[in-house]
Amino acid sequence: MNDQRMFKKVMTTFVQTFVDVYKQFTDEDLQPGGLEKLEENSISIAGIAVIVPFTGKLSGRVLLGIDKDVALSIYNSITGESVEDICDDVLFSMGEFGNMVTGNAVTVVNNEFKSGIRLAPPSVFSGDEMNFVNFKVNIYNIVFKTPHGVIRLNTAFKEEAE
Amino acid sequence: MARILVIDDSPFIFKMVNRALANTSHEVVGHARNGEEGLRMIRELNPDIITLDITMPVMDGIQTLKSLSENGIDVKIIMMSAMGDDDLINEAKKFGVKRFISKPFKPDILVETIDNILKD
Ligand SMILES: [Mg+2]
Repeated sequence: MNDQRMFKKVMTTFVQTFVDVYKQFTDEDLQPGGLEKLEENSISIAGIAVIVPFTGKLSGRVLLGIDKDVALSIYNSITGESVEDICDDVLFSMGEFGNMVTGNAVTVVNNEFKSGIRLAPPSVFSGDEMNFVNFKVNIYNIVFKTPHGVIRLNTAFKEEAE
Repeated sequence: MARILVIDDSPFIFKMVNRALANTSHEVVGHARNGEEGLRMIRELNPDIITLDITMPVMDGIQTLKSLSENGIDVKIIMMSAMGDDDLINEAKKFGVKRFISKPFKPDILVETIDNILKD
């Protein structure tokens, strides 16, 4: 990504959007940690993983790693239910959460940079140890602390061929 | 009172729409998980209003608008998406869409939008 201004905007937008969407979902505040560039090309996630691919002037994907307890508490707080185990309903809600975070962030970026980015529907996985291997891309990680555990926001960007 | 079809790939959104409308006079008549299913269910169920997502597999929201227009299907449309950049909004407006709700949505916004669209 050559345009540093665009990159900076994209990352701050993702962080801010994440905090906003989480707040609207749960009425709770989030603590974002710092941005860290990952050097290794594999990521390990325990709990729930949500992947939202996107293409346009900027292509790549968002990968959310959500602790099981965090997912359950988000789900229960929105629905008023008291689900104790991960089930399809919880997975679908996390998939849509990923779609909302990415969609809201991309909307801001598209309006500012006319980047025409479009999302693909989210994929959701659950497991105790899931490894995701990335192609050669720019990968950034931000950890958000919730009252129930952490959510990892992992973004991978690929430059469009010129 | 309106009969509403939800077209959205997420069962979670269908659930939230049902919850939002539970204590109103409106009725949610079905859930289609993409535009293709949506077109079929519109013909079957003849809803007054559809809520239409943008990011969906098989046929997305904008393709669905094209298809509705090509097939001369007349139904009131509320776009309900996490995506809402100017280009997408303008594209939807070309097909006569006037109502947009951004996800995540508050239940009363949905109720208010339905009440308004019924007056259009
Ligand atoms: Mg969708």
